[in-house]
Amino acid sequence: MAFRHLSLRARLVLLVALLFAAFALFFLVFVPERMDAQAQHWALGRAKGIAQLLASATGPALDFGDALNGQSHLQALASTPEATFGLLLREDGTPLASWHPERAVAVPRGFPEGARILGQEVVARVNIQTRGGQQGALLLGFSLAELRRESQRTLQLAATVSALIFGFGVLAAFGLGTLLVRPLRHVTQVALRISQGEFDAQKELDLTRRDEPGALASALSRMLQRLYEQRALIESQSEASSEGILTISEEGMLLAHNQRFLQLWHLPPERLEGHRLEELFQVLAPLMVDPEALWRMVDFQREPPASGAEELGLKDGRTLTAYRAPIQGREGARFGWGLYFQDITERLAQERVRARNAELEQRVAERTEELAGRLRELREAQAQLILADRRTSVGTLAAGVAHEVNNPLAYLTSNIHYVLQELPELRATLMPGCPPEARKRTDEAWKEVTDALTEASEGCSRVQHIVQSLKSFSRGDDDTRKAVEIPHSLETAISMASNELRHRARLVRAYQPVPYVEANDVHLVQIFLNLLINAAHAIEPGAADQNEIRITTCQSDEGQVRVSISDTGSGMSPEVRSRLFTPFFTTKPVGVGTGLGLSVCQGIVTRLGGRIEVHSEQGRGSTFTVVLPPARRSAARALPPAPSIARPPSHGGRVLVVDDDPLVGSSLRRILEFEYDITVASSARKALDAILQGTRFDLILCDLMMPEMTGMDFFAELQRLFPTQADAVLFFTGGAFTEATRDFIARRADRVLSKPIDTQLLLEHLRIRMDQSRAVPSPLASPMV
Amino acid sequence: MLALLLLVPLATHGAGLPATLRASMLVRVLAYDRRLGQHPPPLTLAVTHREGDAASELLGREFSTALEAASRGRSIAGRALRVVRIGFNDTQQLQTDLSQMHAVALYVCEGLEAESRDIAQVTRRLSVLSIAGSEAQINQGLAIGLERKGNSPVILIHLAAARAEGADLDAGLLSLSRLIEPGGEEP
Repeated sequence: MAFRHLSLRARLVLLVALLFAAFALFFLVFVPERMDAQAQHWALGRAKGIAQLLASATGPALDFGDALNGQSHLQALASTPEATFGLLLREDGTPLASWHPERAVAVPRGFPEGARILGQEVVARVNIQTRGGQQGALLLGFSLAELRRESQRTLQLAATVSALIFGFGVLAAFGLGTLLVRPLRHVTQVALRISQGEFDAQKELDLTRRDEPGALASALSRMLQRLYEQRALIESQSEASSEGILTISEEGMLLAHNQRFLQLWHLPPERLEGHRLEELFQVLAPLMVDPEALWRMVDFQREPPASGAEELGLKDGRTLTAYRAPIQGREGARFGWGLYFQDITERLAQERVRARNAELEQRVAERTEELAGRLRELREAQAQLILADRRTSVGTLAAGVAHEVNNPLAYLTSNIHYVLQELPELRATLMPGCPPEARKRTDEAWKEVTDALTEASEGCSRVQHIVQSLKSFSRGDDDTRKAVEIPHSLETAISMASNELRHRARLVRAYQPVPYVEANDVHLVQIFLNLLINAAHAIEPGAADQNEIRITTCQSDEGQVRVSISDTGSGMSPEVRSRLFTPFFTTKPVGVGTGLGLSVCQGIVTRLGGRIEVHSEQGRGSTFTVVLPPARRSAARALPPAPSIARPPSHGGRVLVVDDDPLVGSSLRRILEFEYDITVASSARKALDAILQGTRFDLILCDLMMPEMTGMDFFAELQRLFPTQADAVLFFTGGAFTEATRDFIARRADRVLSKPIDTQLLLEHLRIRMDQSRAVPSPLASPMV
Repeated sequence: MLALLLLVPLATHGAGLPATLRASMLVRVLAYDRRLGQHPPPLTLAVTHREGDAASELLGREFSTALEAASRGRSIAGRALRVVRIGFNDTQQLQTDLSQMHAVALYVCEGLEAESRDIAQVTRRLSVLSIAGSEAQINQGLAIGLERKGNSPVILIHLAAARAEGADLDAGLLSLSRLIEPGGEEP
């Protein structure tokens, strides 16, 4: 580790010196050793060579046992300074000849052929195989003393050379290190001076060099240039930022700031230079509403708020946001923090405006939605009105028709009734004078006439019923409720829809006793008529005998009245069933259905506290069940019980009949003249004239709908001029087809009779009225319509 | 073994070397003739004596026996030795026999001293190395003599005759031999 802290020059010097030292050491160790080894090798080779040479020469001496010859050859060793001894041995080891045998070293047994070093000598042995087949050996000894001395001298020389190499190496290292490092050191010193803020030092960089320090200087120069550019860019961006930026070091020293920061906090630049963050915040804290927020922002141990920014309220009313961000190098090492401040006062104001706008928009949207809802309601109401208008039109027409039909029906009925009433008396008068043979025939004819008149009377009743139904239907908007008998409403609806039903299916009535329901009869008829027509339309015409429409009435366990209308028609898909009660939804062709029927029915049933249940299977038919709560009170007959047919005793009195139709007047005269003094006026004006002339009547029977002066006008004049005569008025009408008339009837229901008038019922009422008028002249108590 | 041979009393056969010693030396001397390495084996050593001379024949037989004993188990340049005896009648017959037997060396027994010059003519003609037991025979032209001087055996080499017979003798042999150079004789 210490090596890393050495200067590059020192490291270079040390490295080169070590290299030379290693080389010198290697030279010192290796060269003498190698030379010694070479010398030994040479000495061994030389000894071996001499021995082989001598062995070759001494072979014949050994072959022929010529010691002298051998000795003479061994004497040649004297010319070799290092030779110490020589022995020519026979095969048995005894010497044949020798040279300085006293200097011979002890050669171990089994000494191999060749040259070996034994102690301070080289001993060479050569085995001799003579040409003559003899064997022997030659042993020579050579001294190594001279060789050792030469080795010592070599070692000394090597040591000297090594020392010189090392010394030269150290000097070269110093020189090389100085030479190589000096430019690098210069660049380093320039870089250090730049890093300390002396930016002009860049000019001292030698950019003309082409070596590595020159390249380094060029790179440093380019890097500095790019650094200055980056710095200028960052500064320009920082200055262009709308945020006030403050940069601090990891230790809390203020490093940099932009102009916006000074503007935000109204600070002069000198308040920041060389200061610490804590010192700056001590200055800023008094400006804050909550100074702690400032300190929280720079509490780096604390996680920033979820929004990432602290909101700082200033005492001058401004609001700043502040957040921090670490400044990190590429390796992720953090070396400072950036603190960013932004004045959001204006933005907050805008946000408030936007929020208010949004709130207003929301309210507008809600209002729009509400208006849309109302529009829908209006459209529904409009549809209802259209329906009502249509119904009103039909009702008006029906009322007019009913009125026109009822008038002739009134005198037709009265006259038939009169004839039926007078016929027995007439028969009793005529029959005594009738011959016996003709009496039988007369009886039969009499019976036929009576039956014909009875059937005519029934026909009149049926016409009266139909007209009554039309009148009831025309009063659809009337929500007056009373205890209604369900079968009655069903029959009315059946009679109205019979034309649609009979071509499509058999009608099956499965009525069980059910209580009355509190409802408007017309509304109930409307509901059942709708359901019946829908059931009929679900069945294709032409196969009436194979299809069935079944009407069932029953009372559920909870006491509710259940009216089911089932058909064997096509049924409905789930999609159709889900939209069944949606207004204007229809599966019928355009012009056939309005799509309002069932929705109107549901509305009516819901208002009555009931519901409509639907069960349908596609291809098998549908069942609509109307569930209604029972009436709380028992049903009261709208009209009092029918009086007995037996003619009552006559009470007498003056009765004025006012009707624009003279036939109605004459028929009433015909019925009532037996008991009362009848005066018939063909108009209200004439009747009023009669009263003005002083004639007083016990009872005034007045038609409501008359030209010129209506019954209501007549009644008003009477109330104004002759209140007692007004109390004696009893109205009868064939049908109200104006709103004023309907309203009048609703208010004067106790004194209104419907045309055609049931004769018995009329007589009964007249008697009651006469009795009351004679007793205490007061209005009739019981409702009559 | 040479020492043992040397210990044998040399005075047993008068002035000459004992046959066994002479045979042993003959075999060793032949080993120093490098030419024998070029001959096909076996190397035939011939011993000649005068035919009809009982003493010469005896010496011939005796020497042949000793030579066979010395050659047994020995070889020269890897070639085995074979000993043959030739009775000398005349030079022509000797030349024929030597040629037929492919002899490489000829030992001339005592008793043929008078024919030594003729025999030397034959051996030179046939390039057969001639060996004898007395210096006189060497002086008459034979190549190598195995003589005795005092108690030591001496190898005599008539270098010119040896060269004439085609021998290529080793310098080591020459270093311990006594060279004979008879005056006026043509090699």
